[in-house]
Amino acid sequence: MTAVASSPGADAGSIQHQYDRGNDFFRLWLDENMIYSCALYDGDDEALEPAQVRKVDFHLHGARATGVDRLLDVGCGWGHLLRRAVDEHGVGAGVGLTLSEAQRDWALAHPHPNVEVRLENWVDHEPAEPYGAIVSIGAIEHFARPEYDRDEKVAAYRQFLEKCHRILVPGGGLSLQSVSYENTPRDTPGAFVESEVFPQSSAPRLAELADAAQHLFEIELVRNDRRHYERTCREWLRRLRAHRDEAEALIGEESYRTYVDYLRLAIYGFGSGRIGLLRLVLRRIDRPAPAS
Amino acid sequence: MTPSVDDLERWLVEQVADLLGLPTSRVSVTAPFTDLGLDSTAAVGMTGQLEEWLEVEIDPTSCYDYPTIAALAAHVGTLVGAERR
Repeated sequence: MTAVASSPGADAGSIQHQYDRGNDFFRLWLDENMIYSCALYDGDDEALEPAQVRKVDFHLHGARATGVDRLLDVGCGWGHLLRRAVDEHGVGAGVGLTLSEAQRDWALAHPHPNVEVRLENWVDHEPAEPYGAIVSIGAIEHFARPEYDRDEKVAAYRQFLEKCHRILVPGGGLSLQSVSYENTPRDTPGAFVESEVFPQSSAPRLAELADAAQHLFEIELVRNDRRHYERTCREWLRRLRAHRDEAEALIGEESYRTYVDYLRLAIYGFGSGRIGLLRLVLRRIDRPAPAS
Repeated sequence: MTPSVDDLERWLVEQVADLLGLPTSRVSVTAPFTDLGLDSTAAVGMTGQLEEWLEVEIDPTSCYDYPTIAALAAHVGTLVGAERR
């Protein structure tokens, strides 16, 4: 698996292509905490903001992060989960990894005691002490490139899970969230999104993640919340359209249209079940049986 | 002027023919988009262009719920108040 030997998935340049559009642009249509991933709604009338907070709490509970000394967030975005973990869940210290300079700069501009956001690939992250819990939301999509075959994808996910296993305390929890390919040929739903919005990225299938987790983590919980992501994208699209003039002034008419097309395609994909939204709660296997 | 359902069908036929590199005579208005060879990215993109033209919001899932040119044109026709001529 030479393709994934050192640093699998999307490189820093392509991550910055996606997330360095500017914090001002994303602030136009994300929620107040700048959470750029699927919310977790309760009821038909709930607003985006509380649903995003519920999603954060779901993962903190899933990873059993409450009260741990150290929490890692791989692909921490603008850092809200870490701030909430320290403020509301009794976490001693939160460490976040991102490849986006804009997100790192945001964190530097909004410093929080006991939260550290690092511009660093998880491959290169070597903590001095293990973590009590790990969360990763919307990052796995960037770990495999579109041209990878199934074995290469599983190897990339396994490399990530091996890393998590190595830097987690015994019995530690790992809560993951990722877009997934579902009722579709591998490459149809992604062609546009992969090329225009998420270059060098591709989504896993559940079976690939399950394969990659064998003898490293037991899977305690699986949810497919594609309807929640459809609803999240509808709300983002509504807000983006409501700020069309400001968005076009910030990123240009063509890029505005690209984001509208991307959100419309995502609504179609999640609404039709071509793509899904996986939330997985994993528990570290402390004494892995030898692979057969 | 509000386009008629026939206008919408013609516009969609031309779009699909253009996307697939086919003569318009080869594009059936009653065949599912997938049978025509149109993938979901292209179909959703096409409804996005339709939105721009008509200045009306078209649900992105409409090409899934109305999976032929005839069905989609009739549905979009109801959104813009079109009448079949």
